[in-house]
Amino acid sequence: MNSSYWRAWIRARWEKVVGAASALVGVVLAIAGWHGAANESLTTEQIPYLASGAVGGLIALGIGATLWLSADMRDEYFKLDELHTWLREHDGGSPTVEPADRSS
Amino acid sequence: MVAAVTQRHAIDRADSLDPRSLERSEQMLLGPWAIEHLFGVVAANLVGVCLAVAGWWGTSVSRSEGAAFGWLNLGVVGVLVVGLGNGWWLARGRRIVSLARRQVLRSPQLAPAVASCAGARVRRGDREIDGTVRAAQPVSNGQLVASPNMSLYHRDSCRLAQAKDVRVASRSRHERDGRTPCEVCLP
Repeated sequence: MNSSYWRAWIRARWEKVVGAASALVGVVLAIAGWHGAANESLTTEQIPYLASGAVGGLIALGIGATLWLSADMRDEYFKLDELHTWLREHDGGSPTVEPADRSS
Repeated sequence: MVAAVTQRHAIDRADSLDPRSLERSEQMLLGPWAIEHLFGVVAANLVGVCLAVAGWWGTSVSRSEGAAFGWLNLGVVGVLVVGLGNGWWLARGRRIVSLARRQVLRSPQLAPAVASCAGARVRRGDREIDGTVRAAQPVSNGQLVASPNMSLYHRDSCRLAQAKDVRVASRSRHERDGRTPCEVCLP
C-alpha cells in the first residue's frame, strides 16, 4: 500500500482520524499531568499540572469524541437521505409480475 | 467515506447555478447541522479552550494556593463550556437524524417491514399460489416473492426483489423449492 492510498484513506475519514488523534492527545496530556503533579511536593506547583494535564486532557478527549460521533451521525444522515431519495424516485414501484402461465 | 459521500451530495444537490441551490448544496456538507450550529460549536470550543489556557496560565503565575485554585476554577469552567457546546451539537444532530429516520420509515414502501418489526401480524401467504398470479395484477404488500432462479425468497417490498421477474408463493412452497429467507427483509 503506497502513500497515495493512505492519503486517500485519511482524506475519506479525516473526522475520525482527527477525533482519534485528539483523544490520544487527551490521554497523553492526562498522563503527563499526573506524572508532573506526582513529581512535585508543593500544592502550588502541582496545580498548574492539574490545570494543563487534566483540564486540557478532558477538553481534547471531549473534542475527539464529538468529532467521532459527528462523523457517524453525518454518515447515517446521508444514508437516510439517499434512501429517502431512492424511495421518492421509486414511489409505488412494486415488483413486476410476469403474465401467469394459464396452461397449468 | 463521509467526506466522499458529502462531496457527492454537494455535487448532486447543486443541480443548477441558482444561488439558493448552490447555498443549499454548501449546507448539505454539514449533514444534519446548519451553518449556525457549526459556528455555535466552534465558538463554544474556542471560548472553552481560551478559558482553559487562561486557567493554566493563571495557576502557573499564582504564588498562593487560594489564587491558584481560583484560576483552576476558570479551567473547569472552560471544560464545562466545551462539554455543553459539544453536547448541544451532538444532541441537535441526533434529533435531526432521528427525525430523518422517522420520515424514511413512514414511507409506504417500507410499511410492511415497519409493521413486521413492530410485531404486527404479517400475512404469511397461506394459500398456494405457485406463480399463477393473474397478469398485470400488482403484488400486494406482505406477500413472499421469488423468481425461479433465486435461492432466497423476499417480501414483495424488499429492494432486492424490485424490478425483477418475481412470483408470489407461500413460505412452505418457497422452502420446498430450496429457498431460504432473505437476510435483508427477513420475511
